[in-house]
Amino acid sequence: MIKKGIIIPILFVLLIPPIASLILGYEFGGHSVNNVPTAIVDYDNSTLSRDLVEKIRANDTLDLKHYGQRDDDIKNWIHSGEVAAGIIIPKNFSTDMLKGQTPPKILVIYDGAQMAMAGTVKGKVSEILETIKSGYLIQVMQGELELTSAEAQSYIQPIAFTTRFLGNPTKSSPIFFIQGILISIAQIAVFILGVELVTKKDENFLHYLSKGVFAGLVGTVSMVVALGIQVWWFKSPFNGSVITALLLTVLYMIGMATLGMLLTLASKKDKFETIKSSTSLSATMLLAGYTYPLVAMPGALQTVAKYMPFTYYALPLRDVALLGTTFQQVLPDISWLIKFIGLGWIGILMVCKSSQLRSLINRFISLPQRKETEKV
Amino acid sequence: MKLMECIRKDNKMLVNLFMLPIIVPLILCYVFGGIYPENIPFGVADLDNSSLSRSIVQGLENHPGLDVSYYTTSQTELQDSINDKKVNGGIIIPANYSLDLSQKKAPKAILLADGTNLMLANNALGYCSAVLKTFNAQFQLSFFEGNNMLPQTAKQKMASFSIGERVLYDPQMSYLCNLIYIVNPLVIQMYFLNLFILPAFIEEKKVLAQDKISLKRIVSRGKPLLMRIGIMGTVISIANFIGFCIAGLFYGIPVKGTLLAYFVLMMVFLLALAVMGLVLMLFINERNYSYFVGFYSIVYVLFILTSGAVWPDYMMPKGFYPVVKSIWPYAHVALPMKFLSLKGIGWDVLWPYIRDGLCFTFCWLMIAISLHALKLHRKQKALHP
Repeated sequence: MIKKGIIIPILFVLLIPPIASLILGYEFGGHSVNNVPTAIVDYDNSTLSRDLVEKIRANDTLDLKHYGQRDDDIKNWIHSGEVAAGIIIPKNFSTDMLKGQTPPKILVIYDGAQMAMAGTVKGKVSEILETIKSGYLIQVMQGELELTSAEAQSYIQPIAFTTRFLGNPTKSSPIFFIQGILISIAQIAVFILGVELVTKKDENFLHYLSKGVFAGLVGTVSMVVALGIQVWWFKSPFNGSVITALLLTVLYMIGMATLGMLLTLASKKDKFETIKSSTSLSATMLLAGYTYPLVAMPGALQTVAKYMPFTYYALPLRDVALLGTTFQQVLPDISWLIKFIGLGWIGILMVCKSSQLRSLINRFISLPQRKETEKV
Repeated sequence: MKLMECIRKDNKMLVNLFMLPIIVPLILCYVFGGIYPENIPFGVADLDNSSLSRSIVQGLENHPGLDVSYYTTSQTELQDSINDKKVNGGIIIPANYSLDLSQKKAPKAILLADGTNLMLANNALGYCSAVLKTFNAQFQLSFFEGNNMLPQTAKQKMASFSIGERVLYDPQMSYLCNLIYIVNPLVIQMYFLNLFILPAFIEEKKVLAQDKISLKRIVSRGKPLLMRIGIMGTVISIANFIGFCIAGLFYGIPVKGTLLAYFVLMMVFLLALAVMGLVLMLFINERNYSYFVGFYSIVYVLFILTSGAVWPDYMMPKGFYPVVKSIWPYAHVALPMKFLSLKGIGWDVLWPYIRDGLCFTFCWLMIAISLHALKLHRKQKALHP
């Protein structure tokens, strides 16, 4: 029977990750960078520069908020956070370009304090400007070298290339990190449930084993609902096998519940101390290289990441969802998670047996004393 | 005298909350101090194997950002190697690439990247396209010159206009600068609220519940509590500034604001947190306090994501950000703390954030007082019907 005190942690596990999934899905629903407030200073005010401004205005990524008169206008707007990017078209831009003597320079200024948009805006602005530049070069080639339009086109970018982001073709940041955030939330909830399931008087290993499996399954249900919301409601991609993802989830959640139980049993302090320390689990997302690449971290931390369960669940799960990674490919991760659970169970067994052994020794030591007391 | 008493009462917590804002930035700097990921594993599928394609591959091999470690002659194999995480990106140079180029058939190379880690993917493709653009420029130049155009004229035509880029405040757009200024208030929030404010309020609640409650008694009990909060706030605010300064000194992160600006911003935030603690006391007592700490530990990552400092408010759905700002004070400190450190914003820019923080505190204080008064009134009524 479920004890009254356990109901709240169970509700935490079942409700918080799905609600968080709804909140995050709603917040990042667009999946892409858009409406970036932008300012422009057009010193040239020619047909060409106005055409350029029009192209920028028509782009969904940029939201042209202000037209400035001086360079400082853009700097001030960026400083106050009113705009995140600014474009400065120099004086005589059009004539300098057509004369071809001193190539004019369009300056694009970004707010480095807004990393989320800067990368995408950089790409969009250079895309627009490169299109204009290509148009001009085609005109030159057609006029001066008497080439046909198709021929000129082939010379604009002789070594042409296309880019493909496997698993994330829209280069969406939310697709890249939301799953990890949900895992981070669920793992702490399951860990706390594991902690709450420990009763100091209970020394039966099998009880703990079944409790760990129970908590893991509750966590799995929650995680499935949370990820389901992302996939079905907010249209996040899921290209892999559901069974593989489910297996990884079950193993990880059981592992986290087991860890919670083991740490509580092994610790001499009360449960509250273990609950307080659970916050540090969310750091595993950062340390496992989920967002910031491991290759850029110090060597010692790259080694640490190899011993973190998050590495063997969140990263392969993202690969399953986005790249469609197969069961065979995640087999090493599954094997690692099984070993992790196994070690957790061995730990619990040792704690249970050691306390049984301790009580046996205590009973043995106190036996002659008790006999003497009885004699007296 | 009373001051010393307060300090003595919270001495351990004072030490912890002084050390925490100093240690956290240093740890973050150590972990995320790397700026550009270098030697990104990269694969090549050269299906052409001409002198041109080999030159391109050599160009990629010489780039310090890429570690060309995987060679294949099959497109599928390259794709599989990305899926297997052997490499983070790769290039496919199609068959007859060089021949098609000479026949003006506009062949296209394909750059592939593992989209599951955008940071690495963007860097890998950025490095690769830089190499290809160099080849492009060489090609265009030789083409113009081959068509009897003077080298100087050819260069001018090609550089019809150039695009200059400037990234203000954090030219490297580093992960560290995006994170460090918003993580410190989050960690402070957790310790200040969960381990100082709430236990202190629970203790007071217990004491007040033992006797008949009067306004005079609440005021007399409240004064030392306010003093304790003031001392704690001062220590944390100073430690927060010291923490950033030390990180700036050793790891070069920008700390452009003044001590006063940091101090005021942090004090307003801590005041708002104290008021939220007062609101939470309506529901929290000694028995369910551990559940609240558990709940907070589960959801605390959401504070950062909804604060507007990671994902700007203009990219959120309409109405979302105002709701976030009206229910929790973290959103009032995360963004201005980042702007203050990176941009060194003056009081004119900082003031709206401080004003919003103060308005938030005032509104919630009124709500807390009304609700506590109502609860008290009901309790008294139940005792003396």
